[in-house]
Amino acid sequence: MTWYWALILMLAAFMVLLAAGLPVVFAFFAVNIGGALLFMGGEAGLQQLVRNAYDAVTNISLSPIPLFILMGEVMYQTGLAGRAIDAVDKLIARIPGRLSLVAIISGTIFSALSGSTIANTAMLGSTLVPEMARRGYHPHMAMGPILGTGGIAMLIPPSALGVLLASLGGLPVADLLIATILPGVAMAGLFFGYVVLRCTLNPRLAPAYDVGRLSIWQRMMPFLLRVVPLLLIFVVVVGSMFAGIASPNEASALGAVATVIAAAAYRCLTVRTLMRSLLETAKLSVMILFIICASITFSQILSLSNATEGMMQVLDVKTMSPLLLIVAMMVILLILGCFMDQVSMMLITLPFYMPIVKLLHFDFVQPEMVQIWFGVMMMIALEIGFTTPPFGMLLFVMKGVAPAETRMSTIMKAAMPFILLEVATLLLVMAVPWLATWLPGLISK
Amino acid sequence: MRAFSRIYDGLFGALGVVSALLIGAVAVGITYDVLGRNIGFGTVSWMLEACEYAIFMSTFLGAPWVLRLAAHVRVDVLVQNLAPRWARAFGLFADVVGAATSATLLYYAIVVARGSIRDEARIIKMFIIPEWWVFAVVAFSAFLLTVEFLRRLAVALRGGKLESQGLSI
Repeated sequence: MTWYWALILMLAAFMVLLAAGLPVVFAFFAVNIGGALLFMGGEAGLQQLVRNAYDAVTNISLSPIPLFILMGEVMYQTGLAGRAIDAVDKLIARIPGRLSLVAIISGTIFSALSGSTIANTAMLGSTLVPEMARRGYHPHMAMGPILGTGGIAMLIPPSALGVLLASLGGLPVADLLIATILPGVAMAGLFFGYVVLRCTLNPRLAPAYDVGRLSIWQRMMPFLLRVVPLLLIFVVVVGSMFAGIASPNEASALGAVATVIAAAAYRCLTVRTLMRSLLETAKLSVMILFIICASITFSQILSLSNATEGMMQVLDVKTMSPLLLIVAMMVILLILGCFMDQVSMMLITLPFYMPIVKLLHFDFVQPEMVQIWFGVMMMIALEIGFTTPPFGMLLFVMKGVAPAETRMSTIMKAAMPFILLEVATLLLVMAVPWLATWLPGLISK
Repeated sequence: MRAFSRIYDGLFGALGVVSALLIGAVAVGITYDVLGRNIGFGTVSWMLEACEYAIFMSTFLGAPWVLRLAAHVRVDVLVQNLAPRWARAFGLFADVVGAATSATLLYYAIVVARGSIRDEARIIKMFIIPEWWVFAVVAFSAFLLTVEFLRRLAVALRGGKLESQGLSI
């Protein structure tokens, strides 16, 4: 069988099974079984599939995936995150679009303490959307900033999907995690500027209201007591990696334990909330890790069927403009993001993308930084996929927590300006690679 | 029948609890190792390897529980927008493919485990364990996944509906 028929057959079978409603992981395993029979020697290939499933997850470098999710769940389930939002709420006074800005600032802070976009969006949506609706905020200004900021949890470390991308793509985990900090903050800055500008030009989008008279000390105190100490957790996680004291898996464990200690120190922790956090973490991380079980066999089948090599010949890596190739790869990710979850997108594209990226040279990026730069752009493209209609996962999370009468079309419209700002961030990182390479460069020095 | 149903739910729920506790154990284990190394009370040589096995066990023991909760991520937007008759047909098809996939994993996990027993293969790292142990875990997980898909199929054939607690896009 020629490689392109093999590729078309595998992708078509995968899409049909997904469309039929089969869970993603079983769609991957089913395609792997077919691929193993055709390209891996039948019986021997199926036995290899079982061995691969064990090998794929018996790997300590995957430990940050559950542990970063655990940090977010502890924050969410114990109410630490809600208290932090209250503190940010008191800190911000008379600024146009006040509650939208509270969402952006709280969401960015929470992104630095949690590795789960879903927990981030659910927490901000359930806490702030009803309040914004009560204050007469336009639905676009209420939900848009939350959808945008919710996704930033994937960029700013700790990021479970960042660890996954680095593991599957063979990138240094610590470098990739640290490289996404500046683009994540830049994205939050763009959201902030957009909200202030829109609400200044059209105050009806976010009607001003009396927030009560509080002294500066009364405004600062909750922030200093409830938010600043939590930021120490970010320092523990990122600082230990940055200083080279701890590997990413060690940093994630320290972060998880530090979060539990913080919850206990604030007297928010009970056996019940801890167990609920662990169970919710297990639910999400088992779902991700089980998909990874299918990853090695999927890559092997693509390689043995010559699909990987064939695709690289079609793309003609040596003569095509490297920047054009990068743009094409990002466009493919953005299109896939409209229809697919992030883990599946990584599994499908990385076996093609990483061999190509290893061959690319750019005048404006140091050769050793090209893969990290690409990894950051890929993270942003994947993050955009969380909110792009019709199937962006965060749209459905928002539908779940927004007031019952909220229509899906309203949520999608609310997301649009923020999707454009995310694309602008992607273009910014493409044009200014320094944003992604400066921090990892500092580590290597 | 009701007692059997309770035992069945209890087994899957217990697997979820074990999966969750293993994640907690990984957090504590790695932290102990890092602190031991930096503070100076010594590291435990087998800790990282134990954590690797814990991640493996957590994944495979947790997978049937997550399926029981219908919490494996799936794309069900198309199915939701179909006429009920077609949606049911797609659902049945998905459950049949899921059961067949899990049964294939079960069969080949048993084949690999039997081969390991025959060859007396061992995994030699800090722990020295018979290799078939890990494939027995894979087989146990695949067995429960097959049973759960068949249960879902039976419920769907009777015209019942299953609730999802997971992510659907």
